[in-house]
Amino acid sequence: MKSDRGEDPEKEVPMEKRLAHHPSPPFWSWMALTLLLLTLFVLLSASGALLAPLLGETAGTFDYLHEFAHDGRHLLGVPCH
Amino acid sequence: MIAAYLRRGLAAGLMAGLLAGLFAFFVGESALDRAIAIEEASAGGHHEEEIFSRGTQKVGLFFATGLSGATAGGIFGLAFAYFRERLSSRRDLIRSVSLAGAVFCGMVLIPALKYPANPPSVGDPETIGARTIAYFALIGLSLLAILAAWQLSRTLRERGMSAPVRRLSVGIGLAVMVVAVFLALPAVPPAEDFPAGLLWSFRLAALGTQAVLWAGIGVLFGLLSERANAEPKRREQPA
Repeated sequence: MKSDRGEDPEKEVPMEKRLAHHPSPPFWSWMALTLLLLTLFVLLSASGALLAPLLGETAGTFDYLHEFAHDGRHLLGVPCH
Repeated sequence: MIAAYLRRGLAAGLMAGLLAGLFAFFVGESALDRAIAIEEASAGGHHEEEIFSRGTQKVGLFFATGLSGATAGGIFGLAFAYFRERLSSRRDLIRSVSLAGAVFCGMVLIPALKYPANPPSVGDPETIGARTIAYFALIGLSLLAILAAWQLSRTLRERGMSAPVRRLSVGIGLAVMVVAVFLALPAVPPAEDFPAGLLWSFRLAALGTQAVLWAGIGVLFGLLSERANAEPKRREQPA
């Protein structure tokens, strides 16, 4: 298959050399990753019953989200209640 | 460059999440409705006060799959930025689909073998904390097992092992890791007298929903990347 569209320009360079050009991920990307994981947890798993041991009474507000996202949580396979 | 992958992941994830929502709406909702009917019948007339009606919850289904799709897609975009140069394929579409396939195995398929999705009324609300911790631990460990298998495959390839022997070794290694994880985590409580047929169709629908999500992320993210790769070339051409 011959195509110059979407090809890697560094085609023939061995992997070690290609990786040498790539520094470790910047700090902001770790922050973004943490924030996204936290968002995913709040969307899919946070509920009053789950967070009550940590947050006490205020955890109950998560129940609105829990009930609204209820069907999605079940069908995405997350333990719901 | 990482920011571009993150944006692309969020966009692909949102679209894939809405597609997964459509699948869940047409395939999963009937099993979910029947499970809720059983739950209400077993409550014996004692009707719990609901915050949202079933109709509102079905709108919420798209909210949940869309937003969690976007979030998962964003994480996928960051992971893609990291793994892109480390994957052996040369085309972004192939890279994207194979990374999404690996994530699907580690995050959905392997965990579903031990802790399959449960419809409403299955599971004791008293144990939700322990079950949630075990569930996320299983996902984390399965993803680590996939990562370790991939690393092992790279090492063996560098040592010049032939492809059939390498694949067999990696497969056995992955199976051993998965069995160890399954044995280490607590057993799933039985679904008791919930109808087995309904349980099965619910679990298949849940697996299908997640398959649509990750297939969507892999394909859409790959297509967006291919389009972005082609753009500078297009500009070079005379109009």
